[in-house]
Amino acid sequence: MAATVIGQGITIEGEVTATDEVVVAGVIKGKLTAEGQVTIEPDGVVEADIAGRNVSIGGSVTGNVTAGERVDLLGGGRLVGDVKAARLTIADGASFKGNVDMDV
Amino acid sequence: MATQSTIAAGTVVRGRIQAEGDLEVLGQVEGTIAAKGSLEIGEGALLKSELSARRIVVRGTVAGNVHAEEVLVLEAGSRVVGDLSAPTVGIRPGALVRGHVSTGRSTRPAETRSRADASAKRPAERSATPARPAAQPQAAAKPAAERQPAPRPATIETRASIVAKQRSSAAETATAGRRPPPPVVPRASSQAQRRVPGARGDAPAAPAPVVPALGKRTSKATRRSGGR
Amino acid sequence: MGRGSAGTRPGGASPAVLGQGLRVVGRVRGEGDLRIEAEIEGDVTVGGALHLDEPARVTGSVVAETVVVAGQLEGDVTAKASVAITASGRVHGTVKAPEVSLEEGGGLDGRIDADVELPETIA
Repeated sequence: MAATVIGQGITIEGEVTATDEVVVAGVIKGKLTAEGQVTIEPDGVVEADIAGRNVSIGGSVTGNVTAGERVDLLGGGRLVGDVKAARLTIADGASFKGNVDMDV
Repeated sequence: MATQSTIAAGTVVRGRIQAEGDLEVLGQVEGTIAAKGSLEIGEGALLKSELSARRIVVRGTVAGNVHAEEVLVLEAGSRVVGDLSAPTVGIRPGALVRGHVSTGRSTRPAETRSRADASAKRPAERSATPARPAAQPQAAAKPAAERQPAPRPATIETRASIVAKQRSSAAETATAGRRPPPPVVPRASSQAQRRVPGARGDAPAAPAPVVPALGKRTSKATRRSGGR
Repeated sequence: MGRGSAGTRPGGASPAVLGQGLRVVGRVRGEGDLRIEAEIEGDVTVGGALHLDEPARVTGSVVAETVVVAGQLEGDVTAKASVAITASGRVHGTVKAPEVSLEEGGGLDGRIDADVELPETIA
């Protein structure tokens, strides 16, 4: 199965549940759950709780993030919400406001 | 613009999707999809959605009304339960459809109704126009949500009522003139003119069905080239 | 082309033709194939293949084994096997057949009622 790509011009209001990976460069409002990798690109705007195996945030996320393995908040990324993951990186330049729970 | 957006095969979306450009759906969607570009519904896709886009190609299964601003194509293997409307609609052999289909210029499904066909099938002044529900051009003029005008005859009625309808529909076509009819067989009008104009309106009472000698051509018909 | 035969026959040598310029008011019946180029006001029922050529103008219900509409039909069309509406065809009525096809450019204003089974998840 291939990746679900929510391109820049796409807006989804609702729940997205994927068995594979998801790449978001558009807008999701609601809920995003994936069994694979979740990548929020710089143009991506997510107002939703996110769950994925690995979550990489280069865009804007408002919501709680839960990852089976790791969460990476990249340089241009912005996260307002709690993080629950075994591993977490917050790059220089990233914005983050929330709680972190690494005890998974 | 981003690369091709795709809802992958294993993905389920419950909610509304809006696309500025194109979108390909291979997974499951429950909710409206509105795209300004092209919408492609893949073979395994299952949609319980109202779809609208500029161009739509369906290869999968859709439960919901489908409206395209330009072209709508249902490929072999597709299944659609819902109303279809688009200026151009293609349904390939092997596509299964259950619903109302409306071809011709339309803006929104609710208004769509045989407008194009009303004028397509009726070269305006043609007195030989077969009986057509008089309400049709008027129904099209209303921004009504109705799809079928009530009085449309499913089957032919008696000659007397046909004649009566012809008279009244002829009166209405004069007022109809809504838009340039899509390409219509022009030959038909010239056909009509050749016939004695009077014969149309005053069909005699004799109701006995006329069974033509099948296989025989009238002399007029031989004018056309025989081979086909 | 069909000419001189008094009626359509199943498996007959050539299909019967209601040629252009003809106007029929009343029912049309046949057992074999029929090609219509004429104007018909009345129901048409044939046992074989029915072909409405581009000049055809039919007002009435049409029933056949297979139907190809390249002309104009105001009425329902029912076929045992298939209905095909070509790019020049115009149909205003209900279409009932196991297989229905519509060429881009063709006109249809009416229902198509195929037997469509939807999977449980979206029914």
